Amino acid sequence: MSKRIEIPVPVRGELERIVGARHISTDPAMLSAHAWNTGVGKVPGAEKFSGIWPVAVVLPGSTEEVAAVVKCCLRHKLHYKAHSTGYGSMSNACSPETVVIDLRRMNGLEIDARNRMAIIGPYAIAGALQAEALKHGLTCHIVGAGPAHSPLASATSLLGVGVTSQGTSMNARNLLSWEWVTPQGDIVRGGTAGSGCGWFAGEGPGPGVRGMIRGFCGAAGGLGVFTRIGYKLYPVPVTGPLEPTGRLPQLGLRIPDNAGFLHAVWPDWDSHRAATFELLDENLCFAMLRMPPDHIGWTVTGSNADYVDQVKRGTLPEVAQPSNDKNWTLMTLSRSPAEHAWRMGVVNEIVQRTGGRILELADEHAEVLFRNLFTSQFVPRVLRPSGGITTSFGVLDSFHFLPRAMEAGQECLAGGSLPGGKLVEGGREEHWSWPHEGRYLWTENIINFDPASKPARIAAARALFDHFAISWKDPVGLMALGLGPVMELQGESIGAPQRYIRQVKNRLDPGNASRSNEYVLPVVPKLVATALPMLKPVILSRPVLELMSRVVGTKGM
Amino acid sequence: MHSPQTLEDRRDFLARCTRCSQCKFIAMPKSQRHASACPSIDYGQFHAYSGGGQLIMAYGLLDGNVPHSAEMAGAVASCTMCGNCDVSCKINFAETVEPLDSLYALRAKLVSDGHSPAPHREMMEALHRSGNSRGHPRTERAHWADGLAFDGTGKAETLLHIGSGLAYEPAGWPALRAVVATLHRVGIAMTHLGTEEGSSGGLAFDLGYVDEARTLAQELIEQAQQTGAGTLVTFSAAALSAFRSIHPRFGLSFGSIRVLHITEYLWELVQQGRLSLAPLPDLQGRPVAYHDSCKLGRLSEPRGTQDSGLDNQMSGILVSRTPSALRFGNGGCYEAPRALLRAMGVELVELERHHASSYCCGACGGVKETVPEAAALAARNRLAEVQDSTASILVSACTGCTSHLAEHAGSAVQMQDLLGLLAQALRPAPALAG
Repeated sequence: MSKRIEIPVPVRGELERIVGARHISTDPAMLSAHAWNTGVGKVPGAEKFSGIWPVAVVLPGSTEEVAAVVKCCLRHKLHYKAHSTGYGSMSNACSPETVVIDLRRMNGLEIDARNRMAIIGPYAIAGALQAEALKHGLTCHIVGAGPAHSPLASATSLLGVGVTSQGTSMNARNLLSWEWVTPQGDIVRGGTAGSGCGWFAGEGPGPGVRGMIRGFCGAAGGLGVFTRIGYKLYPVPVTGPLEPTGRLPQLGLRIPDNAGFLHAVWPDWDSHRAATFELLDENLCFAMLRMPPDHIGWTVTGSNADYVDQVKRGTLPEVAQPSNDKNWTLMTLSRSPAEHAWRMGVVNEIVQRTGGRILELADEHAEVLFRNLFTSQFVPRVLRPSGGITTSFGVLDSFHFLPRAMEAGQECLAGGSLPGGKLVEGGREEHWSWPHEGRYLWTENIINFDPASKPARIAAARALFDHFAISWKDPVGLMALGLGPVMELQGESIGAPQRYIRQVKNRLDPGNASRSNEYVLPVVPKLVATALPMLKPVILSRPVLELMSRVVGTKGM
Repeated sequence: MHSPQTLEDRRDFLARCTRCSQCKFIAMPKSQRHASACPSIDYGQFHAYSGGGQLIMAYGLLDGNVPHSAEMAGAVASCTMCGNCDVSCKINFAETVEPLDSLYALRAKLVSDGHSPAPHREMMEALHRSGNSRGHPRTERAHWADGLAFDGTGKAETLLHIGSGLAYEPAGWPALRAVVATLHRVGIAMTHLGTEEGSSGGLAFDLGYVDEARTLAQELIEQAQQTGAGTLVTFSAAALSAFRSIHPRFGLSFGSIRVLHITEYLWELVQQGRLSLAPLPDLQGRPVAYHDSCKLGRLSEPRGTQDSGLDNQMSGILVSRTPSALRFGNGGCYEAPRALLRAMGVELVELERHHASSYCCGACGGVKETVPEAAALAARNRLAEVQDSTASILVSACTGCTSHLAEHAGSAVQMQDLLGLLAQALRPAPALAG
């Protein structure tokens, strides 16, 4: 059992008085869920529990209670970590003196249809938000964590990218007004909510605060607690609940009237890229997603057994065939038959002119794929085969980079996902790609591995580190996992946000009570800062990468 | 001899929980208010009360990070074992996590380690003593049959299994007698086990008393086989669930005896033209919602002979060794009750959570007896769902659900037992009646 700190009885008493006796626990049974090292997005070690357990978990019911908990922690030199639905282990405690603030009881959800937005608490989940929004002909952005995640957590505290970003942007840009318990326990409302005139805008005239407290990568639990936000919703020509089809687990949705759902493939990445620019120029699609064919195969099968069986028998549909890897799944939403006809006509024309073709999709597969894309259920399912994934690039850059990103993805996997390799068998690369608002390319190479196998964990870590190495030598956009200490290693090749954010952090949270391993480091000794650029070639050398892979594959990350 | 998996057997399944929180929510919510899949976390709020949270606690128990505690026992006891987390989890993880099997194993671990909650122990003592968990005298078990127009003991083609819920519920006897009388009028030769009718073992299994569950199951099967019946018809949703999904874990079955729920049996007779259903005037023009009981629904999905092991193929893909035995909740008894209601001219509306994603009313798994406030909250949540629908009448085919929901229904929702409606509507088909 890990060494744990007992919370002093008087401190527990104080917390109890704030949240009520029912809503605090120091029992390891209740704490265990906050020390579970799932390794989602990371490489876990052999141990399932983190070495760090919190001292207590509290369940506040209001922003005032959150603020009181934060102040109590400060008085007693405890740290705190906010926690919403808790996908993965990023919301775990980062020091043994941490009180976890589980925001489960704060699940407010109000749709403001006229302003195309919702006002949500930390535990309003995306699936429920989407269901409520659809009643008004609106939908929301849902990040990769899927329908069970907290949009507030994503919008305030992490990147917030997702497969429908073409139509629903990303959460760095979906956050409107916000309510925030500062690291010192003060309740602050920003944007329009700060002036008491609604939640519809994140900033008024003048310097932006939202960027400082959320920035691009999010506050990651390192800068207080967000308790309520205004969140953008997007109009869609669909009102009311979508009609389900299929049976569990292969639930689908009937493709709505005037919606298009196509799967197109091209012979090479250059023609794929050329088509992409044209599709984006014409603003044709609500969502565009490129998935590796094996992941499409995982989605159109109801179990791993079904998938492997179909691979062996060669019965997977054409969309899941390895040769159809240069693909786009295209979703269009139109308001009339005429608009639908126009969109379909132009899509078809672009696909054909750029040398692509549209694959046949059985209704059963189309409906399952449609649902998984529209609700972003795709992504949690990517963990089904082995239970272990990590990820790589998050190229928020021009589509000009696409062929290079694919090539780099192959270099990093180095055949590890081909038959006989140590990673889960798939393609030469495993990129998920999509555009943001017709502008940016997001693509990340998913590394699937067996987390119960040390050699597989080491191979996954090596592939992950190779992504960093390649990206730092010859940048392919921004690294998706460029969080926390990794930002320091990355240096200032893409701006210097950490230099400024560090000042914000230290000014607002001088004692680092809002402690997070995914946020900017409060202090980087000058010597380290000076030495890092010089050490980078050493760090990126093959022997050091191999050594680091072994350490991470054994101890976890 | 088949044995259910122990917690140790489940270790790798526990380890694969990614804490994605999908287990807390139904696969396709239609609203914020009724998005939850889990009555336990709705009550306890801490993640440890959820399906995934229990898996994590269980892993901690195995590896020594989490000692037994009152809070752990409380969280485990608040779980109705309704299996909704299992259905939701499989949307993402199919065969690789399967929470429900681990929840059963966790309860068994608590029992074997001496940490079964006191109310569970008392229920088991009552079960030993008198064949039912509430301690009603065995001598009263067959009072429901007083006055039946046929000799209900001995050998016959059809064995009626009543279940302790209905056998000790006098309010349900008139309907039970009426249905049985109608079956007699159409020439069904029936028998029942009278005061000696045993427990299915389902409750014992839910509470973690695995050996006792096996013994009870064996005894009931032997009793049934001695009647020479070719068909066993149970009025108990919980028993049906035990017969179809718990007994196979012990390698037990009724052999050549066909097992049906009363709704399945009656619908079969209606389809064969032996029974008909008259419209019920009281229900005409009034939308009616049907509550899928967990036991009759997803937990009655037949369990095949399953090797729960997973093979590692294609360098890490975890593949079920018996994929045909994978259960996703689709194979429960969903259609017969609905078909009967429609045949009575009822205008059925579906609640937001229905079929395999139905929300548990809170009555099962020993929760009502152990954490009554959790059971009450679940009932109120379920009833709120009815209030948010166009229906004001809720029908259930499970005695336990009906009585529990009725306790909390107030005046806003009219609770109806399907058996009671059937008793009013069932008629011998005209030719047979003549």
